[in-house]
Amino acid sequence: MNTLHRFRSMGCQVVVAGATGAEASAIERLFARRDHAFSRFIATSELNGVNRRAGRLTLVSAGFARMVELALLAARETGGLIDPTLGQALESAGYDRDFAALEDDPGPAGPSMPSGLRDLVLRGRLLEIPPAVRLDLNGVVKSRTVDDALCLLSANGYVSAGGDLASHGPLSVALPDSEAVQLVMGGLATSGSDRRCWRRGGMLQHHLIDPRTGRPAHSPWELVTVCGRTCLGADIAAKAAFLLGHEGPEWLDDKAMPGRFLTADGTVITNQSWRQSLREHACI
Amino acid sequence: MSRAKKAHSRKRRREAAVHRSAPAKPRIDAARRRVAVVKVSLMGVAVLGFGAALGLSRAYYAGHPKKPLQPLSAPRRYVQIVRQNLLEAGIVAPAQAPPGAATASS
Repeated sequence: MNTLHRFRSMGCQVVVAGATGAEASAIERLFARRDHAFSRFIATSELNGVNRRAGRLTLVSAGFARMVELALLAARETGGLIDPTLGQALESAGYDRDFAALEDDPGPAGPSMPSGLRDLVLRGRLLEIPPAVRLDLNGVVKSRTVDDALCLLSANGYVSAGGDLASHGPLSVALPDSEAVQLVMGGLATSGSDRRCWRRGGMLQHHLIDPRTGRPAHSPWELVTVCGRTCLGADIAAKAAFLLGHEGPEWLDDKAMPGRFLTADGTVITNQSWRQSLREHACI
Repeated sequence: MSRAKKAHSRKRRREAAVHRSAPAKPRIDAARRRVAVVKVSLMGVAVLGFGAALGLSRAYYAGHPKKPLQPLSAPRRYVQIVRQNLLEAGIVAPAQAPPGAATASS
């Protein structure tokens, strides 16, 4: 577990622990492949190819179709909160280049962009997105890649990419406000507006778009951390709970998913499932 | 030889030739029949060979579809498992050791 392998991919640092040299290389290649296929900032990515063909039927790769299928599943399970058709809204808010190259701009953000989820059609590998809609699959690609990378580890270890983390075996994890928790099983994901944020016309913008408004969400939470059976599930739930605002903790409790909410002034709120999980597994 | 004699002998030769060619007609007909039989046989063998090759390639050639084509999509079982696991809880416990990893916003 002590061997750490670090590299940059998908706009964040990826840390792999417990991997052999060959496994670490395979994981790095997996991230590179996914980044190359799903990045909005690589002109030749399959995602950009699909977006350029908006309004027409496109034959996509099997991997791409599977990721769109996951995104649609996430949209269904969250009542449309995790929406893969908000690429245009992100660009309109100013997130039109790699985050490292993003700077504050005195000009205002663009207009709000509606969701095109209702008109998106996927049949096998045939995909049709409505005209003027741009896909953004970041809501599922990174966390799914963390899950897939974890499957490449033959021994205990973990894979972490930005806020998304999945582990084989118990792992002590530092939370954003310097507390720590032990991840016993599954994945842990944190979503929020504290890091990927920028200003347009003096207004704070961030990457979590509310599909109901087509603009960056206004949420009482700065960060939401969720523990799921998979990193993908935790990430989807964390984003949805962030977007749901005050209803987030209860929504997670309905699904028995432990969630921890941090406000901008440093107040920590945990939902019932989080407290219950800590209580029940106190002596592990 | 006189002219009359020459004409007579030519006439006789022609008659003899006609006599000789008369039994050749059934031989040509028989040959034609044999050729037709051979042609039909060859065509039959070609059709049978094509059918056999088609059947064999369907059965044994790796790249040939062996069952009706299905649209390419995620297997139903895969979708079912992902759906079951998608929003299910993991387990957290109080930290037992100093943190070995960190989660931050993505």
